[in-house]
Amino acid sequence: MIRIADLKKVYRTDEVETIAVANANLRVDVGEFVAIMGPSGSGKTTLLTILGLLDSPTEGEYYFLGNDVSQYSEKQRTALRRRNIGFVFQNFNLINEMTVYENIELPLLYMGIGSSERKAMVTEMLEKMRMTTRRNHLPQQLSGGQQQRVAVARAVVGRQRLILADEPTGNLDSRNGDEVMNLLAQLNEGGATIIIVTHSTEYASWANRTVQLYDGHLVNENVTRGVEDVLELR
Amino acid sequence: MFWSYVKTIFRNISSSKVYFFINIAGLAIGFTVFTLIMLFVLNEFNYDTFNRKADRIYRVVETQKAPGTKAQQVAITMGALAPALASGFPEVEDAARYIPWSTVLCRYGDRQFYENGLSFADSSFFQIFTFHFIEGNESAAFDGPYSVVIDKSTARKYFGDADPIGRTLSIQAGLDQNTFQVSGVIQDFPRNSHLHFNMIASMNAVERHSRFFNGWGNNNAVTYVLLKNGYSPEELEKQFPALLRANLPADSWNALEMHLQPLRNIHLYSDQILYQVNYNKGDIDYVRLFVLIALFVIILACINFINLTTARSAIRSREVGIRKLLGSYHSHLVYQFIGESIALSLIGLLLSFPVVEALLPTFNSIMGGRIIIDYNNELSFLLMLILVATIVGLVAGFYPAIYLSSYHPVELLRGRFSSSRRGIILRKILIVLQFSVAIGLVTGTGIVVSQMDYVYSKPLGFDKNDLMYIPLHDAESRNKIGLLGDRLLGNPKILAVSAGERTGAGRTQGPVSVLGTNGRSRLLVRESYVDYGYEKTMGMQIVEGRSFSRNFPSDSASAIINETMRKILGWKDAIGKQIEMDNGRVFSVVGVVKDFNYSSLQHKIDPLVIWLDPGRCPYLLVRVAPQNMQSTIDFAGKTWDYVLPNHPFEYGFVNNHLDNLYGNERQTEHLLALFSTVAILIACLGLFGLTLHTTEQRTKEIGVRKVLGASVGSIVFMLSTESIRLVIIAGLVAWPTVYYLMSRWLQNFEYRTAISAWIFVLSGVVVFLVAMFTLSFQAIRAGLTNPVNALRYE
Repeated sequence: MIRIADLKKVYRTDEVETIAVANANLRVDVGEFVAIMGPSGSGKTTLLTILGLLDSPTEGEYYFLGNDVSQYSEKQRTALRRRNIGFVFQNFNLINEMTVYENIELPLLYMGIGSSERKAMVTEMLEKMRMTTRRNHLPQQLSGGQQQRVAVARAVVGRQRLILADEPTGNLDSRNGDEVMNLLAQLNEGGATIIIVTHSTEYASWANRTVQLYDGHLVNENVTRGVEDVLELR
Repeated sequence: MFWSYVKTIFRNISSSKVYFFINIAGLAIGFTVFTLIMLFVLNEFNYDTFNRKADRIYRVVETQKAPGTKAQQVAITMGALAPALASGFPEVEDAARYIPWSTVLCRYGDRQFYENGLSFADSSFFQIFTFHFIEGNESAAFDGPYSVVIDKSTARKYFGDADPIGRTLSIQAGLDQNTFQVSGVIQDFPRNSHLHFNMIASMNAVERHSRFFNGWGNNNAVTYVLLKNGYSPEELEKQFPALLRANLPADSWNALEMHLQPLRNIHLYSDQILYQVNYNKGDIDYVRLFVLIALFVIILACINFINLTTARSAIRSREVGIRKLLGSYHSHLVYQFIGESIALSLIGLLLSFPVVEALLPTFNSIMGGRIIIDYNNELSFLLMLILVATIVGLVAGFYPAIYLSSYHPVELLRGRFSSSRRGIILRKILIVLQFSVAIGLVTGTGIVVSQMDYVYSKPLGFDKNDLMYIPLHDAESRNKIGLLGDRLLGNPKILAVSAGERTGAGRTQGPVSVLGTNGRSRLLVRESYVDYGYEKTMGMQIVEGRSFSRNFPSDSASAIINETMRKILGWKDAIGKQIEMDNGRVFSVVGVVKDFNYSSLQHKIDPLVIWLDPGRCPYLLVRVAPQNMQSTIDFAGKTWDYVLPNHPFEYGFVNNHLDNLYGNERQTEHLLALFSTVAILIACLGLFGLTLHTTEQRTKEIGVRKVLGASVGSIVFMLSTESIRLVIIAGLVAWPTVYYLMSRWLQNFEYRTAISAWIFVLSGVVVFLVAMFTLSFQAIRAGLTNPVNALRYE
């Protein structure tokens, strides 16, 4: 699904040049569940923004679904991201002025899906996340765990194939954290490819394999479960 | 998708009500001012357009270059001109003379009134202008020589419900016959007409009385020309010099030029024209000034919108990031935000309608009741407003839209929401601009007020206070000047009585010949006809010689001149010098009166000659004691009724009459004051919003500072310094501009006050204090907050 080769991201300001990601090579196949770990400032988030097509690399190649997208324009990246990638954040990033229903519906609007189909998709997702009774609530009226469930729903409602989660459990207690990880695991079992950034070794162990980042360098890969196993599960 | 955007707009409004209120209030105030001014402007440009042939109607304007005065334009021409144009030029479809008459006594049965709306015209007048005849018709209106057409109100006034056609009105116009037959009734004039009369009689009646109105020797009639379709005014104008050469003596050929003024221009573009018929005369400069103010006010409201939206961008930036993350294109977001600002602008417009409705009567009374357009029924006007509101939304929303939508979703992952440096600088520039406009308007108002103070209080050369005038409309009343004077002086509250012009000189000018130090010269002079004791009653000062006196029977051949005339002629000693009138009569100068202003201070003093001729005095002048004025007026009224029982008593006071000469200026004064207040209000609304925002943003900093021991005063100071600096810069920007513009405005006045520095200082201080008050409200509240609350806020 994803392959990066010699990928490099450099930030330049007037005084400083910071290498956020250096010569990274990584391959994530369809259906994998990968955890990225590393200390603060090691470049995890930068790597995630590039993988999520929010930013382009300074150098190197990035193949997404077989196409080299490293030179894509913002518009091209947006079009690709819209249909294929869902995001889950530590601080949920729901739009406060929109209800649960509207937040989940939003990506479908951008995908240009017709209203009756949209309604069906959102309703199904609400049921799946056990949020039907809360459909008209605003985000502030929900607990952290509920908000993150809405965020996950929003990330996958358009049947996105890649879920990128940046510390999705960081703002949650362990019960809610476990619940969100469970959701992600279920989605993975359903066929979604998942890349999660986390500080927690426990949650990292839920993944097929763990990638360590240190000062922008990918230092090792620790395979938890064979990819083949995952593929067999399908 | 559209409804998603609409929902977002309303949810955003409800989550930041204060900022919404500030934006919407600013816009609503802006649109209110804009709508009111545009109604005024539309009315001004609508003058005379109800005439069906308006595009082909012209008024003849003469440029006179007479010795002794500046070249002047007059809209009064030779009586022979209109007939000559109508008969001898293929370009001309029709031409008509029009003569506004002086006030006349008019009677039907036992109903009698003074009428100051009597005019005479050729019958072709009805073919040129559009009238709505209720009875009679335009082609038969002047079939008889003593026919009169009256308007509906006048018909009702004299005849009640009876049919006026064929009835006879007695009109004491000083002509051969006083009886006029009503031949038509027209609708009352709309206000937006430069012509205004309530009775118009046939020119024949005047011609039968005197050939004076038929010749080339005098200017006494307004000439209107209707050109044939397809002919340009220039083609006709080219032939004017030859026409003048054929009919005027050689010495006038170079002193006269004529041109055609389009009917549509008469109302607004006639400021420099003397002797003109121009009811409710407007001035294009004032129209421009008000349009400028309308734009300023709208811009101020836009600035509030731009500043508050960009300042609070951090709050929306999360939404932008999320939308982009979920697949929104940059352009989608630009449309979304511009759409939001257009929606807000339209809401502002909608809210302004009831305010306009409520303010219109007051505004209209300031504007002299000129606004007659019912804007609710003017679809095009409403569409124009909607268009303007859309443009305002577009302009105000454009920068914030670009600014907000450029927010990068990567920042979402990093959790950074900071204001860019560029945004902050722009905000400062815009605040400076807003306060420059506010300070500029306040300073401008100050200068107008000080000039008008100067105008009202400047010694004119005579005492305008406690001076009553009573119009003498006909020979009968003028014959009683002596008797009236004797009876009035029986009241000790009446200090002096005479007759003459109420401001020292009338509107007429005439040529005289004199032998000056530079040889014999012809001079165009102001004429003033007076009775004995005029200078004393008016409070004028004789600086050389004497005033007219009954002790000198030869005074009917004497004249008094003013200082300006003595100076122009280079006379050291004027007494005994000879002045020859055009008709050959010679007068000798017996006195020189100290220069006085007989008109508004926009005009300089012309050479003036005063003649003794009670038979031509237009007013009885009564100097009264200031105490118990009403009883003195009652006494004068009773005396008048006793001496002239068939003449209704009318009176006025000279100071009021003089004040009325400054109608446009007074309007400007009131409106500038009003709009300055509006400008300050809008600017302060914006400042209030920004301070509120800054204070919110700095809550934590304030808390920390207070924990570390900062006083309330130092917090207030910290929050206010920046804004104070901006207001001071705004003053520095505004003052030179205002100085330049107001110097130009003052050029309109021959006599003007010096622009003094205190006005600038004072206006700066006023705006500064209002701004400080606005700021301190928030700053003090922030300073007084318990730091624990402030820190908990985090």
